[in-house]
Amino acid sequence: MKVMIQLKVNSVIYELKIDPARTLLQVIREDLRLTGTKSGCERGECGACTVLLNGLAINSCLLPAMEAEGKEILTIEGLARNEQLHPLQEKFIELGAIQCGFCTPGMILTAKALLYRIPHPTEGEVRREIAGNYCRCTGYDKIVEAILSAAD
Amino acid sequence: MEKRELKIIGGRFSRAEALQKATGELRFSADITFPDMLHAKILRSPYAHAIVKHVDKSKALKLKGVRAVIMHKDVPKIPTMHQFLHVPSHMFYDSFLLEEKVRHYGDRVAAVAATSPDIAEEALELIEVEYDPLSAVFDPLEATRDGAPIIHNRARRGEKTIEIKNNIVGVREIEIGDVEKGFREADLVIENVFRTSRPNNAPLERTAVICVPGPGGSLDVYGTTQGIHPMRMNIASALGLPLHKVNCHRVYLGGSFGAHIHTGWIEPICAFLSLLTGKPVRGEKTREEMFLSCGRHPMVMRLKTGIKKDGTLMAQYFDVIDETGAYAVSGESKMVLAGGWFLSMYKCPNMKFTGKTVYTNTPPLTAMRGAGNPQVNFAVESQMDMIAEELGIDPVSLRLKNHINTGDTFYGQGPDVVCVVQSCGTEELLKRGAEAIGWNKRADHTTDRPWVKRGMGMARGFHTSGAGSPKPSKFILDYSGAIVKVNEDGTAVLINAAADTGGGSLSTHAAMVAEELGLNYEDVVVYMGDTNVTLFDVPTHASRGTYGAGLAVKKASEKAKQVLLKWASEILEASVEDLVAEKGKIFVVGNPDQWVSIKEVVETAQTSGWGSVAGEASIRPDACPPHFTVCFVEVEVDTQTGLVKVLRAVTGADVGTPINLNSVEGQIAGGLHMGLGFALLEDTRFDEKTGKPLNPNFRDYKTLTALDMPSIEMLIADTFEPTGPFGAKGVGEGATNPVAAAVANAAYNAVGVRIKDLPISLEKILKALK
Repeated sequence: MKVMIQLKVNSVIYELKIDPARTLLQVIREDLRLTGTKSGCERGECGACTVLLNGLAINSCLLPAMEAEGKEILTIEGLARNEQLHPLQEKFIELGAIQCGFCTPGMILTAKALLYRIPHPTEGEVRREIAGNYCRCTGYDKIVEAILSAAD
Repeated sequence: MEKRELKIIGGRFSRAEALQKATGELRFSADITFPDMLHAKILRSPYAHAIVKHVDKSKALKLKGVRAVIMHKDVPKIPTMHQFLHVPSHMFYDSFLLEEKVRHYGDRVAAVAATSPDIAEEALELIEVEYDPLSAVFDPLEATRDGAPIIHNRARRGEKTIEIKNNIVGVREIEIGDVEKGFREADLVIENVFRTSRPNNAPLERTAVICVPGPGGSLDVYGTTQGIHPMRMNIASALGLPLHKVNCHRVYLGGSFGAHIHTGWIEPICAFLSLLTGKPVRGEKTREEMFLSCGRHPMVMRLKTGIKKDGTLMAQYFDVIDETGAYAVSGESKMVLAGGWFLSMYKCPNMKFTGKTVYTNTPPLTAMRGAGNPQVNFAVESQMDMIAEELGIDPVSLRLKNHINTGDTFYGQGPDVVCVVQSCGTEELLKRGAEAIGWNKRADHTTDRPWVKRGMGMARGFHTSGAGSPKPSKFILDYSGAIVKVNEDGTAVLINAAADTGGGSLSTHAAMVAEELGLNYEDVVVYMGDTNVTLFDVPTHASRGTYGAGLAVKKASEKAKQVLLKWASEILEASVEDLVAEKGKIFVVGNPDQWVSIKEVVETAQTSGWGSVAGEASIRPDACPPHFTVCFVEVEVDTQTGLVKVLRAVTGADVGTPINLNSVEGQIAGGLHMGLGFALLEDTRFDEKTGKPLNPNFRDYKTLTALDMPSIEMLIADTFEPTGPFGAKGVGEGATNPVAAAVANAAYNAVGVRIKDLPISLEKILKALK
């Protein structure tokens, strides 16, 4: 029993026939083959699968894909425009905020949502915002530095 | 190696693959797919200890989309090995791909390959298994008692069968000097028992593997591993295949911390299913399965120290009971390593170590950042503070007096891997660390809330850089290879097999190639490669990526450079000794106008038929230089809740020449994070009756988030390691090792409560305060 849905991902509209139980993460990774969005726990606990839904950071592993219909979905692949990296991407690369890189897409998108709401956040605001995005490599130090630096 | 002026090394540069990671372009193992791919799932035991009496696969096989269902009778009767750190005669074997006797909750009973993960999952529920439950044991001390449930009767070490008695995998005893005499001559003898917990490596990436069958029964494998060559050996061995039939591809890892030092079971199971069905088979562990397959060994450690009034160590005796879980993926090596770390902490004329490694009916434990060292460090460094207090000596001074220094013996991998320390930044780091944290203010415990007390603590430590030694070890293999090829456009390609677990080793290696050949860093291509084209390399473990694997990269670059210079000397009509390579050109010294580009040298060599510009090297390092570390922390302890909050950390490392400061600092801060988790939070727990895991997910297994981390000041000592590539040593593990003791010592300084078993939970602090 599959249903037809329309998803707008990175400004591209996709028509898909899916099982209604499928999560947005599964559809993004498996049907659209946009594998930049990572799957760390499948339970909404690690933040690796973060995408933006109408500008808000959400765990795509918890959301049924059907509920994303009619919304603007942004994944890490859609962040750079015309080959021009987003300042967050630039700062993450430049300041060594990327180690294994598995948390990076979710971390960058979470930070983007923050900077949209609060263009010049304090360090405390940055730390609070990314508290739901796990990183096992960096100790968060350079990630916080990169986000603050991108906001400058 | 001599100290020399460096162009790229020692600075800050972006990782070669950082752009791909920042844009989502980089493919990890789980991102790789093939047409017609099948999905594997493993049926896991609901009992901690049981005989699998009967398996009925018929219903599962009838489900549409199911291509194969296998159980213990279907897989090769070949004991599987897990890693290739040990030389063949010391490889430890105690399992099969699927078991007839299951030994922990979640052990492997059967496996399915199906056209989708959902169908595979559904098929697992249709497999009917009849179990004969056995009594189980979960405590390492109980496991060795007579009459305890027997988990294994026998295992294999190399080709030799060994009988397992009382669930003891192996024992070790080492004595230097005469400890009894040393204790008699001491003014103070102090003895304590310390216990550590069972944290999970918890890399953010879950283990994933995809096995693709090829012509003639060959297999291509893409998977999460710290070593593609060991993985190839493991898979070939488990399936009884000729080694060359298996080709493992290098893929970047999403963290590892020891979780993929060994090849687990999901990899050979997928390989077997792939050969059985003739289709690509993909397996990916769930987060719960990650918690069922790796973790740091808990240790029960009894430490007795004899000391003179002036702080001179006279004797130390250390006994370890090391728990490995239901399988010993590296035999008793963590316990033996613990012995080596203990011997390498402080100068002491009389030292004794005894240890045993014990099976329990809990999931198998593995390496995890520090390989026994965080456990030993917690005991030794907690006790050093207790000694300092008894003697009225400042804790930093006591360590300055006794720490291992240049010229001393270092046991880099148990007592069989030994070298002499040639570089040591401990003294510098202790002094700078004390200054930076404000050590002289540690007597002031006041805060603006009377029920919250402030405290400071410190500890020092180290870890090895690889497992090399002047004499080849009889039990552990330390070996790396590299090929460097210079292209017709003047760029170079590095072809090696060392895994990049996230620490940045590939960019580190690229920088070494560029530095040696006089190229721009961007002009070195890092090729992912596979076991068919790369030279043998052991796993990226033991903080050896920069050091051991780097030595081979450096040597191969030197060889390529010799070829380049020889031909450049013909073109420039100058002698080789007068040439220098810089920014893609080769210059005649003292004559900046006389030069030829590397591009032109390679082109001329080809058109003239001189040959190709390439270098190959394989190295067995003949040293294992320790990288020394310190950790100072300032904490607040809430006496009403028991919460220990780390406010500030000053953490330092002696890494020799830092290759890329960004990466070195990343390792120091990341090591601190994992050390703080070990100190305060991270532990996996099991139901005492059933052995069922109680927290196999990130909701119940806590790690420190960005909000919980202290402010960090990092120190890098000014040292040079003469045996290292460009003077470099490791850093990744040493940064973690002293953290837990530093926190325990700070909590004691704040509220006078000594916690001797990790983690330092709120409950333990509150209980001790009452």
